Amino acid sequence: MIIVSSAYILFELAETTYGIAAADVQQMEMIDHITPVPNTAPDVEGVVMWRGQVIPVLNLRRRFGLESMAVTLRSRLVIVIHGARRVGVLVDSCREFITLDPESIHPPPAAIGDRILPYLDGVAHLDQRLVFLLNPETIITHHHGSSSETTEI
Amino acid sequence: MPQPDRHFFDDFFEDYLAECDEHLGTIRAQLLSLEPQIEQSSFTAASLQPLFRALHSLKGLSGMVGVQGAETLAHALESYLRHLRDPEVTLTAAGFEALIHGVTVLDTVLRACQRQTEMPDLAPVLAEIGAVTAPLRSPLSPLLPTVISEAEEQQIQAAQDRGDRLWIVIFTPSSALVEAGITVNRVRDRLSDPGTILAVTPQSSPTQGVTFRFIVAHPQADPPPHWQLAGVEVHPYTAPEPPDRAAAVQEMTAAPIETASSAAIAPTLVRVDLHKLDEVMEQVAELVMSRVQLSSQIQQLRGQVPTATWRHLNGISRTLEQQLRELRTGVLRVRLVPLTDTFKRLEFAARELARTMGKAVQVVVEGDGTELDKVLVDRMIDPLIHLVRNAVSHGIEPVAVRRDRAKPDRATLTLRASTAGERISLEIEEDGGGIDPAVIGARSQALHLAPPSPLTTDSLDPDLLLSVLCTPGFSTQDQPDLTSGRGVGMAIVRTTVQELGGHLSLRSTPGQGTCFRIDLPLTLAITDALIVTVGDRSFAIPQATLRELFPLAPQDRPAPTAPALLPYRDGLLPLVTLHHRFHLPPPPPDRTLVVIVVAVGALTLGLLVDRVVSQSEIVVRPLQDPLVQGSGISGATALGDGTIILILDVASLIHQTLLTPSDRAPAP
Repeated sequence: MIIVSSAYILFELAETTYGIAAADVQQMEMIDHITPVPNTAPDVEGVVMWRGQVIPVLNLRRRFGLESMAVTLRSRLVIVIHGARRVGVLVDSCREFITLDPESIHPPPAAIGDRILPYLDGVAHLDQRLVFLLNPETIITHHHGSSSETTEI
Repeated sequence: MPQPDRHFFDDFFEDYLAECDEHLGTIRAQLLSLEPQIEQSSFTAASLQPLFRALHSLKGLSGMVGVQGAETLAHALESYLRHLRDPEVTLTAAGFEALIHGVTVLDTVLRACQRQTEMPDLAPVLAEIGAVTAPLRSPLSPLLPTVISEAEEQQIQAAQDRGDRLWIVIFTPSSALVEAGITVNRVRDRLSDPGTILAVTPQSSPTQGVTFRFIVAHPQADPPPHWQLAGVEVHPYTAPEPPDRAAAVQEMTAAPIETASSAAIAPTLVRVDLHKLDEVMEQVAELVMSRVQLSSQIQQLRGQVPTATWRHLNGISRTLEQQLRELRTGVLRVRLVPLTDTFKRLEFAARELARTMGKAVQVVVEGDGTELDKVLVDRMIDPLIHLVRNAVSHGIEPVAVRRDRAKPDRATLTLRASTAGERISLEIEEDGGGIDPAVIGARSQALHLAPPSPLTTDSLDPDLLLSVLCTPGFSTQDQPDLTSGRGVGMAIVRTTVQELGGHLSLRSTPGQGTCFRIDLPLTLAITDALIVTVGDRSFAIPQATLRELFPLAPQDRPAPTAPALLPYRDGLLPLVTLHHRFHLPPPPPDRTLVVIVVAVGALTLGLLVDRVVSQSEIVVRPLQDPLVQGSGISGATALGDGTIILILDVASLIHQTLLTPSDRAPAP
């Protein structure tokens, strides 16, 4: 995995620090009102209006199989860009904007488990902390046929 | 990038493509009208004129912007047509096929240009056109003008000024002539003594091999006798400009009428960039939103300001609403285009494919004057072409099979469009073999695509069948063929239709034929809707699908265990409780609910909701992301207070409920 960009946005999810390349993030938003959409996958929180566009919101805690948490004042929507798509990713809070030396990024350890591994590009050591770097594409891909394909029929 | 110098022309390129599209439209229509004249002699040259002119313009435009492929191809087609103007020449079936094929590839070239994808290989089609053109060239062909240089032209001019007669001398060498000592050098010597050779061009033709074409000046009125050698022909010289005399004459005779009519029409038409119309539409949408906000503020003021003032304010708001509605209709009308060109294109695709597959197909067009938003037309063209090609290649049986089934040899393909309220329906119907669910089911298993539930011979559920057909990767072909792709087509057809807020459905009778139907909103942006609540959620139901609504007392509600049906008019109304459909808490048993009767086509359904909140104009935002698709929701809209509510996909609710077995009455 070659990581070209080295600017990352760090956020918290269940006391763990994750990072996503700044190039893949369009904006960070406070959360207003999320409209739930029936018959979608459990990790799809709903939709929000963002710049005149209706975009889906993905609950990252549920996607990672973590316990759900009510939206707080610190919760943020990370607007991830992928091709023509814009998806809001719901996270506990946003921390900071950092620059990572590509040499400090390592492949993710398999021990982290199948639930999270597919979404990781790598792991970085930052001071005493571990930062899990997310792959924007797999994060917003709908998976396991768990949504429309099965509920539609 | 297919064209290296394209960036110079970026500004013109859109115009170029738009104009080519218009010409292609004319070309297709004209070509189709030629079909009855295959193998019939005596074309009137005038009947070819519109076709000829459209090709000629397209060639010229392509030359200007440097799209060589299109230029070359248009030129080849034009050359063949030029021969057809000769009353002695008949349009052969092979010739017609070459024209159709040529135009199809021309279309592909232009589309490749537009999408900046790879250009098709022109060699096969050029060879095909060349093969039908070549026999017409001889023996006249050497007399057709060839390119001569400017220097040669000056020499010709000078010789004519001297009063010399000019001759065209054609020499066709052969091994027999060479043995007799007649070579091109000997001919050259004879021609220049006396005489002046002004130009010489070698030409090759498939029938005669290589020939040499000399332009010779000679002072005498008749060609000298010693020019008469075996293999040599002498013709009086004719000027190469204009390239085609017959064309020039035609152009002159046809021109006055044409210019008169185009002068009368042209000034009232304006070509507008679609993006500009989108911007206007977006602004109208924002105006509508502001009006809705204003209106909800005015409603809150009621009782807080003097009644007279409030009435006055409210009156202004109502007037504004009416004016905005008219503005919206006006903008919408500007965006609508008739389907005529689209249908011609489909007809063209169908006939071309039928011809290559050796099937006889008659195309019937109904309602081609129906208008649709330009954006929708552009997005729908590929899916429609796919459906038409499928109909011809998979739907319609080979002639032998049709005979066995006592059907007429010539199959009928019907393209149908009609509008109802703010929706349009498009149908592609053929009287072919129908879809055999057993074959589809077996195929689906062979490809390891798990069908949603088993398909058996005795169940022909159209929606189930359709969802198998639309599974990515499903194909009835072992090898990808040119005609109907690689099993991605139907999936894309359905996705596109859904993205546009539409619905794809299928009906098929084994042995009798298949019909694909697409229901679409007339335009995307703004529509009227009923806002209803289901539990603690609000939904919008597009007005276009609404038939009526009535309250339903608790005691009239069907028991949870009974079939969900209500006595309605003279029959029964199937009922969907939206709480169940959307996995929300069920309605309290003692509450009076509201039944919303919706219909698409002949299918009617009752939707059970808690309350009707209001009627409102909504700005439709499509839900295009795969994460939130296919859930009975077609889009979302923001209300006056900024909250987002979901818009029901009524067509898919109806189809899922009425046509899918799992939602019918409990299984026996």
